[in-house]
Amino acid sequence: MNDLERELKDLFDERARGVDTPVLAPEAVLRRGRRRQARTVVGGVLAGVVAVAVAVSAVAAVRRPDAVVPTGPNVLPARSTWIGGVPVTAQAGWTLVNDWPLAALLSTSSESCSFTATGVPVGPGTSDTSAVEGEQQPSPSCTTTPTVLPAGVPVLQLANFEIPLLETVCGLAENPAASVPNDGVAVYVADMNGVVHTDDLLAACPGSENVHDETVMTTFADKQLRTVYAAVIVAGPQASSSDIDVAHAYLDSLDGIRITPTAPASTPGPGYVLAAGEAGDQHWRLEAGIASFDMGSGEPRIGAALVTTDPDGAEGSVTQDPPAGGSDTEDTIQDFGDAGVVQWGTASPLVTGVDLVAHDGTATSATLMNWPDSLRNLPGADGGLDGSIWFAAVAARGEVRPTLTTDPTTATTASDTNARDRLATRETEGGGLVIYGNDLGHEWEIRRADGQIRFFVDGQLTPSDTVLSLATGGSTHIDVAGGTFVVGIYDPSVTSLSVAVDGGPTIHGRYLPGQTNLGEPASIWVLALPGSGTGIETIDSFLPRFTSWPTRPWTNGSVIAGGSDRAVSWALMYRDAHCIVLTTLGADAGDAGTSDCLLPWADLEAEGGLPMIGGVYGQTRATIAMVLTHRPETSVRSTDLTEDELQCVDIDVESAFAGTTMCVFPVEAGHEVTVAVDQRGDALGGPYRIVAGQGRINLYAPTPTASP
Amino acid sequence: MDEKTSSLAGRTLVEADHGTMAELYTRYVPGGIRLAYLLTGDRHQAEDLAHEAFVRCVGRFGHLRGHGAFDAYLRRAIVNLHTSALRHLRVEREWLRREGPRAVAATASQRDVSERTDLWDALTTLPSRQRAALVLRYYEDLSERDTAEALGCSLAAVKSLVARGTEALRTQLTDPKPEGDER
Repeated sequence: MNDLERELKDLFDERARGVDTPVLAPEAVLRRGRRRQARTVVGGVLAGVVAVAVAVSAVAAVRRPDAVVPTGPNVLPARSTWIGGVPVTAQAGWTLVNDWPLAALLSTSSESCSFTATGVPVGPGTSDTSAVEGEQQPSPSCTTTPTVLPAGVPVLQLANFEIPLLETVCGLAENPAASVPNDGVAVYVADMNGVVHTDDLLAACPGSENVHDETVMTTFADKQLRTVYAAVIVAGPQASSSDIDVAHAYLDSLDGIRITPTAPASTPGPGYVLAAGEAGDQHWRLEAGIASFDMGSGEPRIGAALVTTDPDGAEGSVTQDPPAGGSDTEDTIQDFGDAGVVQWGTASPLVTGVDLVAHDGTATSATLMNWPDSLRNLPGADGGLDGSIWFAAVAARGEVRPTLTTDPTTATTASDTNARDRLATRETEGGGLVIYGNDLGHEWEIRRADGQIRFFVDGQLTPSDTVLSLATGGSTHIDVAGGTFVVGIYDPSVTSLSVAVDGGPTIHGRYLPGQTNLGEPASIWVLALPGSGTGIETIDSFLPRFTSWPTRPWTNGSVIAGGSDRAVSWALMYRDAHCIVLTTLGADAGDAGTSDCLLPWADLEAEGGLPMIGGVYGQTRATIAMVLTHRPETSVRSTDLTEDELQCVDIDVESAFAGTTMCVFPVEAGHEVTVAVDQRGDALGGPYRIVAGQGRINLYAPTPTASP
Repeated sequence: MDEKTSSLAGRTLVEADHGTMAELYTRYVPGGIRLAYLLTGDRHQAEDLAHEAFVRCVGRFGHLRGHGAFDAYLRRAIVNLHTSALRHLRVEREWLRREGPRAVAATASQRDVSERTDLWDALTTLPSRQRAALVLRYYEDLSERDTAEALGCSLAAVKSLVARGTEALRTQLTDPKPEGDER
């Protein structure tokens, strides 16, 4: 170490010592940490934490999940399941709330610290204090004590009315108890964190005093006797005796049992349990509630989730948003192998029934259920909750055939009633066909010129790069004064194109059946986006895509490029002169997210000239972005990726990003992809081997460049 | 080992409840704030940076197998956040420069670097990654390989950053210049 390095070390040590640091963790930071955890905990990890499934033989007759028996349209079926390890059976029509995910968000302990310091007293006249300086650091002694929650940490609630999500009939630390209707009855089950103070618990549960002559609460414990659970009945003053009997029967079934607790699935929750069942040695629950949290705002997003519990008691989940844009249904499956599949999804208000048609032509009718009303009051709710959630247990995935309403009243309230509006046409003197319209204050036409399909605005040919695609599946953005036209040529089966403007309305496209230059059948779509903005573009039931307009200049939020497949849609989004991020939407909500900043190649070149690898590391798939250059030409190869999967964008817009290439490709969780990068015949670092796990990647390369 | 000890030993980071999170904070964040201060020269920004990094890291417990890993991830998150925060600051400065000198002065006054020494002054003029490389090598005492890991770059790039950083400091100390743009 030379003198300068030694000086540096001394300077750093001296400056660092002078920094006052908090000894106690600020509660606000811990709260943010817990919220972040709630978003990222994954079911697979929980398997290592959670103990094994239990035989609750004494009460098995009551609680073993039975086959789901639909009781009629939009009526909740009977459900038997376990929540947090606690068995529960809900009668048809009763509300069952999984509150267990709240455990990740509630503070269950607090910490206090005391301080001691040692040192040598400095007497009068003593000037040399250096001898004691190194010993004057306070040494905290901290103790963690449980936070007193009179009503414990809620696990589940069972009620003959709809308890608003995020509310509980027994008051929690900062939240008052939810009101109970006059004829309401509810059972509240909570983890008491080891201690039950009966008087305090009942005091936190208004309505428990309305339960007369019978047991109003009971307790039970986990097998290791680490904690104790309590179940309390609350009722309105005019509750029926039959409903109270239902609550008592449930309490009786819990009395004194021993359970094996389980941790909640990766779905943040909480949620309403709409259906439940078993398939082979696994159990499943269909829930409607908080499916995820927005990565930016932190607000909850409402969705449906299928939660599975494996034989070891570990939970996993798949989520599904309400249908977007012009889609009638979204569907997915949970495959239980030989035990069949649960096919389920969400449907628009136009859908009155869903049939699943197997390969042999047999049809199974799915059970449709309304979204619980109280979800509409949550921040993440939108019009999608006017539709329904559906499911069916079938042998194998079937073709989804929705039955659509013919009720004109419903039709007019549908989200994309304009989707099938046709574009106007006229014939030219020569017999040619012209598509025309007036939008954004401009007369526009689409007609054939110079052998190409071209777009004219106010009689003027738009720039040459707006020659409309010869093939289907592409769209072009054409900026004009007052807005941007989106002109797309899509397969004729496409029935809707819309853009949901962020903070604004949904704008629908118009179409005309026609042909491409190659004579293939296609539809031309035109959509007029006013002013400037960002939004989500949706084509039929395909995954939505981020979009922005105008195309220039780039501002924060501008979409530079994007793509999608059935699992993930992605966009490279401009943030600032030195930052582009990759942002994704996923068929699985756990695959949605935004990467850290991807830097211009010029910045990387200054730091060694190696590719940068970043991306969104989702629960089922990592979407990887690799920053390279095309000046000089740089090639990317991978035998693990198809041509469609490896998509590269050369950026040549005058900016710090000029000369930068960004390549985007997927790596499924549990799989790996190796990418080789060559520049002028020489390897540019690497090869880079990317192994994706749930919510993470491992990068193996001679010169690692990934961000954590 | 009694039952209590046994159950604690069996706890993993995945279980990170309130108590564990507070323990992690107490154990690692103060050091993180000091590191962030050396990177930024601003105590408030350092605390914000360390807190943001801590929140991000505790949200990713699934990756971590031990406290040592947490330390490394926190360090790396701080360095990464610092780079992006600095970038934001640079953009702000560009904007403020266009808006006029009064606003620039307001930004300058936010910096919390007292008792400047020549060396400290010279450090503030280094590009952020050079400064980060020096801090990681000579304050955190990381090896070149660990520094590369923390910076997310190659070993060669670390050697280059440290060499260029120390060279720039020498030049600054022998031929001081007015404060320039910070990267």
